[in-house]
Amino acid sequence: MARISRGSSSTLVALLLAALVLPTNALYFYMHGGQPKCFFEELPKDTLVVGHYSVEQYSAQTRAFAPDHTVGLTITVDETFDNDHRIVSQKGDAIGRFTFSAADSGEHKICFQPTNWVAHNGWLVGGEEVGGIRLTLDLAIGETSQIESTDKGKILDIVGKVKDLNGRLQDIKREQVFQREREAEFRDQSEATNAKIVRFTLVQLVVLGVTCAWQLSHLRSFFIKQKLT
Amino acid sequence: MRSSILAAGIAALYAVTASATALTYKLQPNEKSCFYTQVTQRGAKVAFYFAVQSGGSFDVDYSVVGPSARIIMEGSKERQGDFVFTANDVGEYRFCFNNEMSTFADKTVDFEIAVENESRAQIPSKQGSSPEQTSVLEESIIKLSSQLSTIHRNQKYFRTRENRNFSTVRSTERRIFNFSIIESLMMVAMAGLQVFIVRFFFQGARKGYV
Repeated sequence: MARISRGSSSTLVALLLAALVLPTNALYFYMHGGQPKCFFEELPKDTLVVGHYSVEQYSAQTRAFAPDHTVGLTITVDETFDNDHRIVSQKGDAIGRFTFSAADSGEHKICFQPTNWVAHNGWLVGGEEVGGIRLTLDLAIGETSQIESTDKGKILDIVGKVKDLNGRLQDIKREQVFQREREAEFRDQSEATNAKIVRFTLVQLVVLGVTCAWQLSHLRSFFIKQKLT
Repeated sequence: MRSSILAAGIAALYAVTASATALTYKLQPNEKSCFYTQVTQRGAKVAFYFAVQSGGSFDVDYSVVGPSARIIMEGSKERQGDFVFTANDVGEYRFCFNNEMSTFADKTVDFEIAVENESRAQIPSKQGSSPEQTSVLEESIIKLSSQLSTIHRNQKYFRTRENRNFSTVRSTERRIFNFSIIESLMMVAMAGLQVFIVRFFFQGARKGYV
């Protein structure tokens, strides 16, 4: 019994570790030329964002993408609504995670730029990308990201599921607060436009009146000069 | 005993894997950008949602290509889309957005790609609760979960429409300003032209004949 449990426990640990690694179903994309790839996310206030990434480089020998530990990734997060104020600037390894919390509601620009990579230019061969860098990204936004970051596996029992539902409700609540703020901004914008219409109509009326007065006085003085009036 | 529960729990980790990634990407004019995901299990359901948040007339070309270059779906000048398809092949699936129709407007596209594999093993419930109880609870939790997903989708829809409304109002404001300036200038120009013509009628040799 003890021998069986020792052997199985090491495989269990191996399986658990494998589950914590980035799931193979996550989204990935290719980057060329060292250009940063940026995503713009509108985040309500106090939203937690957790990202797991893994950078792979194409190697011409094996003709495949493989993790290369000399390559790193620079992650920067800017608040575009606040003069591009940088709130996160992090340099990481080829495989890693990053996390940040949105201090204010608004649009955040999340940029990824590979560092230390060998400049093979990517090109398409028969529909498949060859060369360049492949970045696998798993971005979790919201309260659920807390659960996902600590227990990257799945929810095992009812209590965990209810906690997940609670987290999603909090997300919805925060999004509604954000939506209220934006609606107030929209209302302000509409009122400003309305006031502008009134203002420009008055300006046009004034210009019209002045032009009419000038026309009449000019013509009157012209006719008097011509001795017709 | 404990290790068997642990083993079942770890097996459950692999049983239900649903991964969803939601990102918002800004497409420059004349840019084509693709995102990829690997489907490891035949028959997995892939959900693809996208909505253009801002830019131009809020539409974008898209295409979904499966392994061996098989086109699963494509559309042009679509504002938003919400599709679920079954992935019959194992391999790399490519989701591409194309802004080549636009020469100066950049489009912001909010998209979500979710891959859901079927569950094979049942998750063991806590000891000491009857199976009927837990299945009723599980059912209501699943219902709640799907309703929350609906609410979340609705919120995304409202956000997209609100962005469009904002863009309309801003464009209205700009247009009012431009048209007012143009109209004032035209009024002044017309007044000057009228005065000039009347003077021309009554000047010189034509004095007294009009």
